[in-house]
Amino acid sequence: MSELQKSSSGVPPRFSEEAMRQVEVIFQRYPADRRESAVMPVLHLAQREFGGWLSQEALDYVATIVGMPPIRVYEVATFYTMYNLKPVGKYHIQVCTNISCWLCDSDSIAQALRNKLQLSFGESSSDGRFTLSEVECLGACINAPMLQINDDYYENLTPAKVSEIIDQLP
Amino acid sequence: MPTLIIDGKEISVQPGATIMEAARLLGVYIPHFCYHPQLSIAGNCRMCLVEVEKMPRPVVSCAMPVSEGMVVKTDSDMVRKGRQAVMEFLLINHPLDCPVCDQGGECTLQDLAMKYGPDRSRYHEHKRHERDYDLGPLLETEMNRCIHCTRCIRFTDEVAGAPEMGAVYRGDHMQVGPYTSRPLTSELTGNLAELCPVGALNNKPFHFQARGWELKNSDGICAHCAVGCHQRVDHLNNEVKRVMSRRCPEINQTWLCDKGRFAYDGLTRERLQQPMVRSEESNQLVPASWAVALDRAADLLKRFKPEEVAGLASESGQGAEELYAFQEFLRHVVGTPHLDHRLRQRDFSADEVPLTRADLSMNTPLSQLGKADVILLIGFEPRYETPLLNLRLRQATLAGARAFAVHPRQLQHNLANLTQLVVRPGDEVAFLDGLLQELGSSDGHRSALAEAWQKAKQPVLLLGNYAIHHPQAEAIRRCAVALLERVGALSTQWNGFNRVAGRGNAAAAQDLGVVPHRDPGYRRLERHGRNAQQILQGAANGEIRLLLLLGCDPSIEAVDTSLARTALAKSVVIYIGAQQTPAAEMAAVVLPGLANGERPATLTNLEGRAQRSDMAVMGPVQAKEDWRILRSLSDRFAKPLPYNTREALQARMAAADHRYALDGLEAGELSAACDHKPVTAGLPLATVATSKDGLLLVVEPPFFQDDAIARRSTILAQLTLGRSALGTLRINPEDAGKANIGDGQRVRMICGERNVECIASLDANVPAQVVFGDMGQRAALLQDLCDWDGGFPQVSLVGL
Repeated sequence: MSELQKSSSGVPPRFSEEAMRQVEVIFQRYPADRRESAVMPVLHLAQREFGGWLSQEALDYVATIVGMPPIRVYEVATFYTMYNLKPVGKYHIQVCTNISCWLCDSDSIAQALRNKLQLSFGESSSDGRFTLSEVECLGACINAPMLQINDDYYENLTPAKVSEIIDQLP
Repeated sequence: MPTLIIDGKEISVQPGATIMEAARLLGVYIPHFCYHPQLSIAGNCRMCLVEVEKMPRPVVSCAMPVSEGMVVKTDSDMVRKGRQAVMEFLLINHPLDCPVCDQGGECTLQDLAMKYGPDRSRYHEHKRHERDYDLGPLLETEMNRCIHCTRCIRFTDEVAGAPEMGAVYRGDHMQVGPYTSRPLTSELTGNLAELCPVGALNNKPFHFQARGWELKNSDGICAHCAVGCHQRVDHLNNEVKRVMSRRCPEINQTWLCDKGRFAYDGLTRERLQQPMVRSEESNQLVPASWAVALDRAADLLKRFKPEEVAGLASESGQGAEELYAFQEFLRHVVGTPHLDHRLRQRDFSADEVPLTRADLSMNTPLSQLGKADVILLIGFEPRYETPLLNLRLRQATLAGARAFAVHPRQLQHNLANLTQLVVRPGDEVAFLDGLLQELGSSDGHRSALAEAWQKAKQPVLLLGNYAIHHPQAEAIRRCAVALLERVGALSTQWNGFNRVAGRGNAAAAQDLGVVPHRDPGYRRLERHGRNAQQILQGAANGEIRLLLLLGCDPSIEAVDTSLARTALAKSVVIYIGAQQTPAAEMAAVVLPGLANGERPATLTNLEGRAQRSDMAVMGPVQAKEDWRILRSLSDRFAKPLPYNTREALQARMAAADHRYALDGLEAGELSAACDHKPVTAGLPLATVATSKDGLLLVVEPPFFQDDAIARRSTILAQLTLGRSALGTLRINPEDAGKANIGDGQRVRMICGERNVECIASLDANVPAQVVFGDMGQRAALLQDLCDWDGGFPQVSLVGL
């Protein structure tokens, strides 16, 4: 939390041609003189493109694309918790522990995950496969408890089901 | 105009004004941290709570616009309770380290905590720990003390135009800072330390140097460039400890640039401590008494015919008193017409034309620059010549003005709307001539510049250092006048002609006749003396036998330094000045003078305002004010200078030029700016000059090292102007690639028979076929390759 992490690869991040096309689509959603508005979707795209997290280089790159001073991009990226500023594993497991899930015993879900993966919240497995995070409400209270792995929601969980889900991941 | 009552006092203010502003007009103090009159409203510290009748809650006075009939109480029970609560929250995370904090004693938080703070904390949890950043050599950070007022963020964003500070994370995790440890690139970073209401951002060179309450202060005028910012010099035990800004809405508002703020540490370095004369036995300079040194100087001056004596002065570092006494001493005591201060000027053809002050200085006051709608910079890099003037231009561009720059390379700038037109050195006149013809023709196809210029209502044109010291400076100046005349911008309502002679006190040197063709007060002389170039040439070929130098060193500053060295070696030199320089080492007599800050002085800024600067500290014990040296020296002649006190000298200056009559001003009043119209128009335009082929060398004065004190400052030596290190030769990357020269490589630069070794650095701002170097670098003196008459030297490079 105290400093932006630099990318370890040393290769400056660049969007692929396909991603650049998506950036253009994003830009078209906003007036031409309000290009800065695109910073959040472009950051989101960058996070997808550059391995699920945003290094300082990636943030600087987004700043040049959107035409903002880098610090303005850092402000946005640090404000929102869904931008990952540290490397994450191939599967980013985000467990909701907010009120509805908690009432439905999300504690047991979290405990099952910790045991299964041998990770605490905020940690990544050494093989780079898993990252376990505790998150606030993801808006699926109707089927609490729930968790999110990358883009997918898994709902109505039990500890046994969690273990099964992890095992089934490719 | 809404009328409201604050603490029982009635006031009418402009609609839209806030309660805070109304209270300030009334002189009612409302405590605040985040509010700053020069910055946008943030309203986030919540300290300025006031009670407004009929409103249920306390309101934030800095953000609440006034309305008719408001009744405001700034010190009711409700207000006090509100502020106490705010203060308790602010102190939750603030460390109790006032005894080791630089801000202690002059800290808004400390002062207000005395009034509103609880005497003990109810908070027993862990305090927040924040990270400190390395913000470069000027700022020390202790971010635990930050109270999140965001003044630094708003300043860098809105005023400095270098958005590098920010607030990252949110809520109680919020951190203020650049989030990466990079030195800030702004030339105004020192203001952050002054702006910070607590001890989070501190003045690094002042860190642990003194306590605020021990310091004595005196009112100074900055002489490091010609803007003439008002500053407060804080000193202790006869040593300048720091420099702060003084508010002056017409000139510097509340800011100072880093050069003005941090150059002070060069004041005491390499100083001349005592008079010295060259001993006849050992041929060494040996200390002497004032009487002996002055006698020797007088003997030398009398040994030659008056026409064989010449004087050269530096415009920076001298007060108007010194400059006036210098010209009077040479003209009326010694009797020589040869004197000049324009060591950097190449084109002296303007001396033949009766130009006046309006032609040689600014005609748009600084306070009006923000109203310009089109800005044309010719050979002017405002950010690194006159930073506080640049702020005004930036304000104009933020308000919608279009700016154009005609310069030999890409400028480093922070203007909002700047179009850069890179013109090869030597092609400027042709370019401006082309622009004039475009304006004259009815042809539909016009450049963006011509289009904007034609439509401009209030255009300003600024000639900077490069244009003033250009080989065709007068031709460029006349084109500039013609451009403004074409759009009617030379009238008394709006005069857009500005020649920005950016070195400290350059205007006084012109006003007071330290030029070979004019007396003080712009009275032209029948018989012109020699100009700076002719003086040095004369000294080199034996026509001039004695050089009297006032604080200047031609061997570093002149256009052609190798000529200057020959001139100094062949002539007898009498050196009056504060600093040890190569010229002083070659002198026959050295008379130690005082520097700015060590004596009261009159300094004229680029608008032509004469201002008095107070004495802050005492100089070396034996040194004297330069004008007093000249006065004592004149005693040894038939007609001594007719004044014994500074007041008498100032009265004489006032008689010569009414703008120097400052005694009638009330305290805090400024002398008039730009009261010297009209500009001389209608002079014939020069035939179009064109540039040479090949690689051209342009030598630029480096901003942070442009005067004797700044050059000796170790603080400023750490600053980089946002480009490669000082003293390197900047080359276009493609040119370097072709010549097989890498970044940081040693190269030999050759021009005819002369050559200089220096270090190359690749710079994408530099166009092809031009190289740029820094003036006055003793390690690689690039002016050695320059020739006064030859224009820009054509050079070739060899990698070593």
